[in-house]
Amino acid sequence: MSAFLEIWAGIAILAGAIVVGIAALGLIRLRDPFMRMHAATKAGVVGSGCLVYGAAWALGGGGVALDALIIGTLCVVFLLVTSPIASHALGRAAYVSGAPIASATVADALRGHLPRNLFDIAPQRTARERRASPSTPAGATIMSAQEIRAPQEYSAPQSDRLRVLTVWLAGGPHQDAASEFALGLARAHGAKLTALSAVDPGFAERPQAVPVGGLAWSQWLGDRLRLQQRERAAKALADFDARASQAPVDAVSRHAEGALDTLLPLAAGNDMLIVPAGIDRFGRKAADSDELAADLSARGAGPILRVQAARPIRRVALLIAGTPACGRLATTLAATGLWRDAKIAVFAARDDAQSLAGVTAQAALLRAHGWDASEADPIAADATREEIERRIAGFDAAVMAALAIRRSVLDALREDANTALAARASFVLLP
Amino acid sequence: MSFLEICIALAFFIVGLSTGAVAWRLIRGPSTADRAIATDMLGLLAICFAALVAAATGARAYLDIAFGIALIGFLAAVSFGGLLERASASPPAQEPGE
Repeated sequence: MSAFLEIWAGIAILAGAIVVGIAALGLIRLRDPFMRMHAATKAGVVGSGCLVYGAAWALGGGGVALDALIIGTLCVVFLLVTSPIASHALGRAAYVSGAPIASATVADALRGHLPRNLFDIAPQRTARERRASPSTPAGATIMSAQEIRAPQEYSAPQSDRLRVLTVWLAGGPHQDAASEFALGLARAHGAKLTALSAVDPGFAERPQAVPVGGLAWSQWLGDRLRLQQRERAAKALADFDARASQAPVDAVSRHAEGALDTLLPLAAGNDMLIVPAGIDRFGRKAADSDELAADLSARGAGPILRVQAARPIRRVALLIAGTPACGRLATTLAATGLWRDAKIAVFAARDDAQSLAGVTAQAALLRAHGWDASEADPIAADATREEIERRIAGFDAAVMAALAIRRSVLDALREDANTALAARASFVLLP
Repeated sequence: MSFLEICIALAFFIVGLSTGAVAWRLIRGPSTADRAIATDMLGLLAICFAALVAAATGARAYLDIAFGIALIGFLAAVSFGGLLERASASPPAQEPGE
């Protein structure tokens, strides 16, 4: 029995020492601090754990020393508990302080999440330029907010309509127009502007049917897509920060990640949500009913302004297309107080009595609120594409309930007035 | 010389070499993060040494030392991490002439 215990203890001690030796070898040979940390902490814990346990067995001197075994077990347990904390803190610090990442690393999942400061090799020798203001938030990993500036001298609101605005930084070709317009609007109304660079990683998490390579390949693909999303978000955030730092606007920018339903509460309580056109909630190019604006509107995220180009607005179409939300169009416009100097043409895309009554009522409501609103002839339900184009030509902006109306499969083939307006109007206001 | 004694001697040799390797990384760097990681690893090596001494001499108190280091060794790594993060994020110090 005692010989067996001695051999058992000797093997444990030797195995532990060998693992520690491999960890030290990794610490020398691996190529960046993250790999070295991986070697040091994982192998180091297994190695020291084995060694301590072996020593506790050896202490019995042929028998079993219970107190030594208890201390040894406690030692291993504490190593297992504390070592992940230490390695996590060190890894995070290494990333934030800008330690180099070796080229063998395939994906940097933290890009856009944590700030990367300049890497200091020898602080006393290199004069380093550092970012004037750290772009990310203390202590936050996933969700974060940062005050850009809150100037004191700009406090007189010119309108009491829009007090809190949110601009969605989704990227895409129309993001610049949306950011610019949002800043201009916030400045004109003295509103508080929040820039939300929200990423919905949903589609990347779904395993996709990739023929060759199977799961690993699809995971790599998902990683890449998520990385691209985060890069886009980081770029839009940096662009917005640069713009906001030059404008006297009370602006806050934040980054968030999650499914769209969990992101919505972040945009709650605002008077209007400004969304760039042509992009869906995953940051991909999309058209009409797949767009982020349509998605948000369908989830009841309040007035949504879809921006395609920031241009002055002279003529606005208020289109009633027969969906339930159409009843709220005039009240939505009145709530936002936009386009007071423009001519509003209220018309229906159908010629039934209910829609025509809606046209009369909504035009009257807008006139009562001081808009220059007039009623126009309805577009017939069987109008050809040319007729629709002719009717909507000349409108710069639109107020309507949906970016596209699809009642049947056949409708997908022809263009309705909503789709045509969504494609051409610079601004679309959705309820 | 029994099997256990041979194992302990070999383990001393390997852990000693490892300490040299870690010390080399600690001196060489090149980044501050590397040095912090090497410091963390030195703590683990100290645990190994304490356990080995306990096994070699039969002095049970050395196992308590190993336990103590395992208990609080990670605090050094955590505070190094916090320091590194804050130091790299703070604005540069003003030159005296400016």
